[in-house]
Amino acid sequence: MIENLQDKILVLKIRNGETEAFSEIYDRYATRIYRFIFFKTSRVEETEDLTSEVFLKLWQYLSQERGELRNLKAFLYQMARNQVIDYYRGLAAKQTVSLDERLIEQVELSSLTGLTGQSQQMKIFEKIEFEEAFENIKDGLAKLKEEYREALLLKYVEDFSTGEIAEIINKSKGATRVIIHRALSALKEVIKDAERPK
Amino acid sequence: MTNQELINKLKVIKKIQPDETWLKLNRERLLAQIANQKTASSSHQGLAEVFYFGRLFKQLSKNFVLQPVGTFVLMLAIVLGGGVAKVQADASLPGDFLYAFKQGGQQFRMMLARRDDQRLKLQLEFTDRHLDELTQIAEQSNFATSEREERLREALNIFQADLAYLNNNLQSINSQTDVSGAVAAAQKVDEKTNLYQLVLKQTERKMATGKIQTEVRKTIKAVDETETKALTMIVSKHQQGQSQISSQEVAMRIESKIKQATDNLDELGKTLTTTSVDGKINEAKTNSQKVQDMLEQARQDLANQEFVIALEKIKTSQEIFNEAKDSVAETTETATSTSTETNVNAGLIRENSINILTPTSSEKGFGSAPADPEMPAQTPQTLK
Repeated sequence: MIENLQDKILVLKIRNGETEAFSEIYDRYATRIYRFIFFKTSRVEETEDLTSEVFLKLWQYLSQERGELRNLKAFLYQMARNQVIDYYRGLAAKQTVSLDERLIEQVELSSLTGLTGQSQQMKIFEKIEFEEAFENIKDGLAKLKEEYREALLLKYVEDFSTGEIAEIINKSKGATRVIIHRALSALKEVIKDAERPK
Repeated sequence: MTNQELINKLKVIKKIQPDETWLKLNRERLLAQIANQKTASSSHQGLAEVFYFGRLFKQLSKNFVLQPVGTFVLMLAIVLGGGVAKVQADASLPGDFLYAFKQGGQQFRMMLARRDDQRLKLQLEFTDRHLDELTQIAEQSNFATSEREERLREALNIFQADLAYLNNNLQSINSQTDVSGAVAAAQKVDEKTNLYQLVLKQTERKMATGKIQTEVRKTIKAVDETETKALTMIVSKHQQGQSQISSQEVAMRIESKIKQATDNLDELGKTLTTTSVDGKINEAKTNSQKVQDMLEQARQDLANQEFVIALEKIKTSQEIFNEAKDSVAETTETATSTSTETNVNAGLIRENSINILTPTSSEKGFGSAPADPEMPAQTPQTLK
């Protein structure tokens, strides 16, 4: 709640034209938005470009729109989500393939396998620890549908509340709660299947 | 596995973090873009500007005779044009009619600066804006290709002039007695040029191969050299014990330079694996290996706090890297122009083949077939 209040103050300051406030919002959320986008694209360059776009669009939105912004954090993630969708739509258009939600999902699935490339920036021992731990769930996550993957990321990695996640994915709180519960069960099932001796 | 165990595994994903340097530099870039947008949309300056410049006009009147008349007229046009003219000029890009006024306004402000540190601060501000203009042109889709190239060329020339000015300014500051001022200036230039490289590389990737990409590459080299000069100044002042800058900070800056060089090498490496092999590519591969070895040595020197030696190795590796990159660029450009030629020739051959092998419409169905002495000629009457 305090974080939300601080965000509200920063938004007011940005609307007043204070770029220092924008700088503070960037420092607060850039890493998290980056991680969220990277989880969907697994390509550093694209992630960097898209992250920049999100913050630039945030500035433009706050400079031009005067309506109340209830939750800046949720708003940022919504923008990031839309940015990634637009990015994949652009890719699909260039390949002259008709837009297909399943295509997007398949592209995202295949991109998950490149995720550990990011670990190159960690120290060696952290890298090993990360890769070992991540290896365990990576394949499991890849087998889930995008809706479940996103819900797990927002809930357990980005620490959003159910209400906030509902706002981001544009569903009711009840439906979101169900998705999160099912996502966790599905991931457990998939990992259990993978660990079963063949 | 319990739910909690599973959740703990998921939390590992939190370790994914962006590169710290990119994070910091991206913030600067965004702030520069925002500053440009703010200037373009500001419309409340009119009278205040006239008053301000009116006061300064008196102060400068003894100087104006030293300036070309044309420039002075431009200043006056900006001032007397009021807020609207200034706003329109501020939003203009290289190639636009009002861009000369924008440049004039910047020169005017530079004239007002009396000290080298003030001039440096202004020049960095203008360089930021010029870089933003460059990226705007590169990203705008409403320019025709030839127009975009022309504008980019102009923007790149302006940016290269900025770099030349920065280099001169640094040299001038370096020779002054105010050491802390000199180091602060060098630090600022080092940070900014790091950002400029990042942005220019993104622009380079967006360009098709050709002359303009070569120009962008040339500009990246110039930025790299300016950055190295700034870093050399920092290291030298530190070694002479003349500055307050800590060994840790010097090490961090050199480390950042090595990382940048390594990233550049990795990117070149990807191009080398996808380009078909010839003499130049083999040469580039050999040079890449040399660069890798030099950078490794630089890292070891850095670990031993041999800052000057580390920097020398980085400079040498830069030169070898540029040779390698030029070799690859030449090969790529030759391959592109050869394939274009081949495609054109193949097209011509194909066209001629079609004329020989494929019956024309006058031959299909309606014309008479070549007479076959074995076959009786069949006329419509015969076929009834």
